[in-house]
Amino acid sequence: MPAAASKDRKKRKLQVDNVSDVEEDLGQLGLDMASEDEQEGSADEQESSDGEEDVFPELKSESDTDDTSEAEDDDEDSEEEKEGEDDEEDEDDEDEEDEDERPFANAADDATLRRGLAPHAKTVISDITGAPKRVFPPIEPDYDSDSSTEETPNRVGNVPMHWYDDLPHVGYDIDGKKVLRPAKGDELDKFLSTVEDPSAWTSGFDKNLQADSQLTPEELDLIRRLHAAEIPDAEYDPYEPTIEWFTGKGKEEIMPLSAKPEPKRRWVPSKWEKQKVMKIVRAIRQGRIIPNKPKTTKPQFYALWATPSSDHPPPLPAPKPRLPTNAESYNPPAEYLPTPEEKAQWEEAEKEDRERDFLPQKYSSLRLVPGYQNFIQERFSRLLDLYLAPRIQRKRLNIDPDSLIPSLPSPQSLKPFPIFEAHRYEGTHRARCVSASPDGAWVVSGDEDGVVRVWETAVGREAMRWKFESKIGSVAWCPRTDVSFIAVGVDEAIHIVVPPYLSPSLLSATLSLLNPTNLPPPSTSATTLKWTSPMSYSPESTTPITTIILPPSSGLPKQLAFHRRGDYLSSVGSTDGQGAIWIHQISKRHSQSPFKKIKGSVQRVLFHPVKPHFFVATQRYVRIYDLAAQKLLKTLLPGIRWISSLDVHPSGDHLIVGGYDRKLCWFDLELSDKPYKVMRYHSRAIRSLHFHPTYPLFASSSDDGTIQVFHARVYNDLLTDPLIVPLKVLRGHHIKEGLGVLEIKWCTNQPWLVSAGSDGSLRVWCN
Amino acid sequence: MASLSAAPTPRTIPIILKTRTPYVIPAEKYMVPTTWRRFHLSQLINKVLALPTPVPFDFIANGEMISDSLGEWCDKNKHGEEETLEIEYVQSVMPPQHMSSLPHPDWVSSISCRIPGHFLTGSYDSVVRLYDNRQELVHAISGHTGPVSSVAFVSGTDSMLIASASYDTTARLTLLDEADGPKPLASLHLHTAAVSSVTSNPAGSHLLTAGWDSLIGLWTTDVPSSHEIPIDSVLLPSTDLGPRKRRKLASQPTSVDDVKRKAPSAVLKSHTARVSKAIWSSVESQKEKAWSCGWDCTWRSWDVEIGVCSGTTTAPEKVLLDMAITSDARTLAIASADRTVLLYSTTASSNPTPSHLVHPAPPTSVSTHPTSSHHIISGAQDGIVRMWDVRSTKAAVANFKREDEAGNKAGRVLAVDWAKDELVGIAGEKGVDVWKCETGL
Repeated sequence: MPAAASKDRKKRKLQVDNVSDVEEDLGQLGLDMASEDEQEGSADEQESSDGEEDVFPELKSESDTDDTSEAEDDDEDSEEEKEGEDDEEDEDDEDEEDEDERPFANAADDATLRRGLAPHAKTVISDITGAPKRVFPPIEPDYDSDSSTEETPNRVGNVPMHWYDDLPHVGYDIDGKKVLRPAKGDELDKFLSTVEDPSAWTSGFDKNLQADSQLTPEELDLIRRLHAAEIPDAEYDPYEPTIEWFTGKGKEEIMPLSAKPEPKRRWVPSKWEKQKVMKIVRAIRQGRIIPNKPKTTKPQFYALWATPSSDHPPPLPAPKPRLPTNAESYNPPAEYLPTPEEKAQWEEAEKEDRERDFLPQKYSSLRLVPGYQNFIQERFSRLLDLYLAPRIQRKRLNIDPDSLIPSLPSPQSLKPFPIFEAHRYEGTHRARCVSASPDGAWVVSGDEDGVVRVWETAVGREAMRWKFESKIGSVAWCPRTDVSFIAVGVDEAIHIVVPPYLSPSLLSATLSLLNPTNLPPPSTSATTLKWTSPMSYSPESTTPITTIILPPSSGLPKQLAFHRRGDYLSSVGSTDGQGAIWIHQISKRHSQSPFKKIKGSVQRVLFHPVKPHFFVATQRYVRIYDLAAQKLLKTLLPGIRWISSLDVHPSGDHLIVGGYDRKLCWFDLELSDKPYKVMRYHSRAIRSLHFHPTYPLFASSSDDGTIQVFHARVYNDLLTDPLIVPLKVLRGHHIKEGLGVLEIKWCTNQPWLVSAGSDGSLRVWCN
Repeated sequence: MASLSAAPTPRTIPIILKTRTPYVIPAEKYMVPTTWRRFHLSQLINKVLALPTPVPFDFIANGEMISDSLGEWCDKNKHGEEETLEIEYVQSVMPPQHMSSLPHPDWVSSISCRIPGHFLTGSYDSVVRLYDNRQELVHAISGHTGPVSSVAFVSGTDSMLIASASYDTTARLTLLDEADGPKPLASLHLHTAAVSSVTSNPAGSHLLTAGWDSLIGLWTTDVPSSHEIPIDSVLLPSTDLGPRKRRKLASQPTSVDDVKRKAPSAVLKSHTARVSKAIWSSVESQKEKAWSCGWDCTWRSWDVEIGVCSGTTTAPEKVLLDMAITSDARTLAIASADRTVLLYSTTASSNPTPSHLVHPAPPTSVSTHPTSSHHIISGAQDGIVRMWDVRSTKAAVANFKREDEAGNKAGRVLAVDWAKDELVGIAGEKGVDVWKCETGL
């Protein structure tokens, strides 16, 4: 049956491949072919014609089936059928080859073994899915699938045959009939048969049949070959000659393999490709793809600590730990061990106060050293180091914020000080300056209309007025009590007027001082300053009794400051230069300019109340001069950008300086040339400052329309700091054209304050 | 009937009514409803006394006038309704009525109503004027060279002697004669600064002047026959030379020749600052007693006869501007610049604590009722005149000011004086006003 099957297959192969035959000399092509040929004999030889073409597809199918299928995919569909046949043929070939791989197979069982093998799967590319698939050869039903039962009648299987020892049969055949035990001669018969039968030694006992069976010649040959250590397969030729398949004459490959005309797609631009390109072009146009996009610069990383930075010194290297000493040993010499007293002392001491953070202890061997007691604590503090947290956990300061406020006495205990507006004298146009009479009964004010008014403090009635041609820069009431006059600074002149309601004796003293009958000789110096007095003067007239005509272009005297004794009057002009400061001596009708050259524009001047000192405030500095010794004593640095006002404490040791930058500096002249205290409490520029002559008070006025009253007590001992207590903010003046309270003055004997505001009102603030 | 009985009985409060007026009722405890007001209490007294004409009363408890109902007053003052409430009642003060105005060309610094039917005013234009009841100017006395600060009636009925003080450091005595007109008699020369006040004792025999130079001058009112002060110290100095000086002297004939320059009979020196007022005692029994107050925050009592200061009381940090004494000479009312009027008892210990009459503005002047010892009036810088009852110091009994037609601000009040016929003269920035204030006495 196998022979018939293989013959049938052979026919089909011939039919499909148009392969004629294999040449004789090429008969030993492959083992499979040879075995088949051998079996089929010469019947096949007639049909074989052209060997060359026959062999090639065989090889090809063996080596590369995928190529063939791909090539066939490219070809027309008409070849489909043939391709299928090719496949089938390939399978057969493979089967045959599989057979060849078993050279030790018994020749008799060849077909049986071959059929008993697991069918060999072949990987092909599917036509439909295009994916590789495994194809198994079809099972031919005419063959017995189980070759083991093919010729054996006994079907008991692999059971111990001694089960049948007592039975007349040795098993059952396929039909269930007993297979009878063959006749078995005794030992003598057996011996005789071996003697008689020459082939007896080539037979063996078949256990299944319980009988001897003869070995076939092939089996015997195999045994012989094995015994001779030859290749067991008789058919295998290890020395077969090389077959030149592709080299040599007439075997050249002529390409292409097919004569088909070149397909159109080879040279027509691909529509698909065009669509794909157009898609990209559209994307570029719409900006979804940016060609030549600049590469995003990646952040450059660098080793931060590799190079020392240039702008600050390199970090300090970590301190090297101290080398352990003898005391730190686990087994220190006895002299390092603490005495019991030292031990107790160490244990009593606070952790921070201990000289060493351990106690030397002696262990006879290292393995007796216990675990480190402070391990957890040490680990915790190292973690604190990692967190950059301080190791020492200080207790948070629990400070009551109220305790930080200096304990100042209550303002109620520091009475009296002005608290309310008692009088208001309206009707002047921007009262510029104000001054109070030494007894506090009268107040003189000057405004920008050029009107100087004398008011009665307690009543608020205007007692007298003078009208001058230019606006009034400043007014000052002479502090003397034996005479009474008012100095009025107008443009390039200082007028001296006499207030009303003087007693005859006072008036005569005043007149004799200011308008003496025999005038002193006019000063011979080259100054252009002149003292003039009218030839005739009556007290009722509103003309000045004496006029000091300042040099031309000296401007409006912005300040007039009397010496405490009232004889010297200093004036500050509004222009810079040498003529800015003049000191006039009333009794001698003499004027002098104390400074040859003045640095900066002079803002204010002041006489020291007790010493012959003279304060000059320029824009930034306050200089103290000794007028008697004619030298500079001190330069104070208030740190104010533009000084507006200054005043000296009646004791002469303290100075307050106010600035347009809202600061007020308190200087202790004995202490330093830097301010003892800088206060900033006004919201606008400070305009005027004044110390009360008798009460421990001072006040400051500002462009914010307020007057702030302070208690300022100074002590005679040098150890106690001055006590400055804010007492009262006096509000009431209106801010007009950005100007507030322009000048304030205290009444001498009462804690009353007189203020002149830019709103044209003059107010008296009483306690 | 049932509904009436079910009505809640009104709560009552026990009160005891006392008075220092002639209208005395029996001192018994009355249970009055707490809803009663001043009017009901006043009706009660009128009914008890069975007065022919109803007399209105005011009621004072704890030094405060009762203005609302008794229950509200108790709530406000935390007075339990079970406790007996002692109430003093006084005759009501009628609301003051404006009588007339005496216009002046300048501020009026002082007024005196002591001359019956006349008003004597001193003005800042240095003129002393005398008005009568018909608002007519009787006399205008010039002579001062400075504003008149104070005027005082000295004595006399037909020909009245008046004194005036001025800023020109002098005071003057002037005789007002109906027929001849004013005749200056003497000028008083002591002070070296302005004279702030001049007052005469009730008898008209002596004068006290207070000056800014902290001196108090005691003067007699008789006119000396010759000058007691040389002319050189009196004349205003002048740089004018001879002819003009003589001409000037000639233009003031009265001041040189007729007016005798008078020296003080005594000078009371104790004050350390300006003396603002010096007054005499108002009762005859202590006619040698005088008081003065000044800017040195003290008031002093003087024994004039021996010319010594018999007592000094300090009112700390208070500038004292004016003072007045009640008719029984027991209470001194002193105006202070710190917006209070201080009430001192003259009979109390050496360092008495005053009671305060609080003003919203500094009081400038104070005056007492000529007969009642409980009523004073004070004029303040805000132009309002307040009438006070010294038994009720927490609030003024009445306050009044003149609203002129244009609605202008009332000017400062500079002086007040209470006449015997319950007329109050108020001098100030806007002239003189006369008001009628009936205290019911």
